[in-house]
Amino acid sequence: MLAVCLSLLEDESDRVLMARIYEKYERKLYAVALGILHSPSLAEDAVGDAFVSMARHFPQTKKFFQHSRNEMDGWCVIIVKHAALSILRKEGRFSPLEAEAEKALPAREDPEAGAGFAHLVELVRALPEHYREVLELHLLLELSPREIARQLGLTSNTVRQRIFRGKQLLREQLREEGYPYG
Amino acid sequence: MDRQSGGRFDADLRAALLEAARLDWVGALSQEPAAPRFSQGYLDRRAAFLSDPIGYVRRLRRRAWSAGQRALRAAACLLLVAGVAFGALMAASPTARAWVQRIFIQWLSDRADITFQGNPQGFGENGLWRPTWLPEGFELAEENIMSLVTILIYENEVGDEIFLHYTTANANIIIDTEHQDHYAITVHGSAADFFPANEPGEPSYLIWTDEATGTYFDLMTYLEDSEVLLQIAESIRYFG
Repeated sequence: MLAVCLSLLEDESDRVLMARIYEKYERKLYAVALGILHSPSLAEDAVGDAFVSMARHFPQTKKFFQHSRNEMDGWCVIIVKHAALSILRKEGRFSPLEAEAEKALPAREDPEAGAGFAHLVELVRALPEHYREVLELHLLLELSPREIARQLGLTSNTVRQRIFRGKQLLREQLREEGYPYG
Repeated sequence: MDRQSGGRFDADLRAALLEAARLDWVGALSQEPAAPRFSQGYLDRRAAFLSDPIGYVRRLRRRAWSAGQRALRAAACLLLVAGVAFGALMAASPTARAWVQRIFIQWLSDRADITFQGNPQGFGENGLWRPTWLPEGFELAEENIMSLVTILIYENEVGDEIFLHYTTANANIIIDTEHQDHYAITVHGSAADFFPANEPGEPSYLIWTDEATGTYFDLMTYLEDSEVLLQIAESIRYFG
C-alpha cells in the first residue's frame, strides 16, 4: 500500500505538487504544531513528520488539495495534529487535547434540512477527544483498528469500541434533536 | 442501521471531521504567519524531503525498523548476559539451587531464534493444560500428547487452525520477523512475546512460560485477528 502511494510521487508533476503544498502550508502547519507543542524544535519535527505523512497518504492529499481549500485545510490540521500528539506521547507528556469525560453536546438550534451537516460539525467539535482522534485516524487516515492501537498504545478492542461509541454518540444526539441522519 | 445509511453517515462524518479540524484552527490557517526561524537541521531535512520524497520516506521506514531491531538486540544481549551471570552465581552457590527457567531470544536480521531451557536437573511432568475459551466455531481437531511435549490443533469448519504447543523440556522456535511485529507483554502475569503478523497470509505467534511449573507455551495461527491468541492464552488452565 505504501509503495502504491509513494509511486504516485514518482510522477514529476506530483513532485511539483508536493512542493507547492509544502510551500503553501509549511508556516500554517508550524503555527498549529507550535500551538499544541509549545516548543519550536518539536514543532519543526511535527511539521516534518506531517509532510512525510502527507506523502504516505498522497492520494488523499492530492484529492483534497485539488478539490477544496477547506477540505485541504482540515486535512493538514488533522495530519499535523496527530504528528504533534505522537511527539507528545513519545515525550511522555500529557496531550493538551487530553481525553475528558463525556461533556454536554451543543443544544439543538434548528433541525431544518441543510443545518444537519453544520450541526454534525459542531457535535464533532464537542466530541470527547479520545473518540474524535480514533475517528480521524480510522475514517480519514484509513488506519485499521490494529494500526491505531499501536499508535496510541491501546488494544485493538479499545479502539474498535471507541470508534463504535463515538459514532453512536453522534448518531444518538442527531436523532434526538431531529436531524435526518442514521 | 442499514449499510446504506451507515455508508452515508460515514461519508458525512469524514467531511465533518475535516471541517471541525479546520474550524478549530481557522485562525492559524487564515492568517499568514511570519516566517519562523527554522533551524538548519529542519531546513536540511526539508531539502532532502523535497528533492526525493519517495526515497526520503523509504529511508525513514528502514531506519525506524533498524533502530527497533537494534534496540531489541541490545535488550536481548543484556538479558542473555544477565541470565548467564545469574546462572553462574546460582551454580556457585552451595545453597541456592532453584532453577529459573528462561527464554533466550537471538535477534537476527530477518528472524528471531527463540530458545527455552528446560530444568537441567530434570524436566518436570508436562501436565494437562487446556484453553477454556476459543473463538466461535473452533474445536479440538487433533491431539498429540507425548511424555514431555503436547501439541493441540484447534480447527473451525472452514479449516482455519490454531496450534497450541507446550513442554517442560528444551524448546526452540524460529520466527520470521520480516512479516511479524513484536510486543513484550504479559500472560498470567508472566513475561510473554507476541508476534502478530503484519501482512495477510502470515502467521502470528504468542510465546510465554508458566513459572510455577516450568512450562513453555507457544500459540500460532494464520487468523487475521491475531489477538485471539491473547485471549486463548489468558484462558489456559492447568488440569493436573
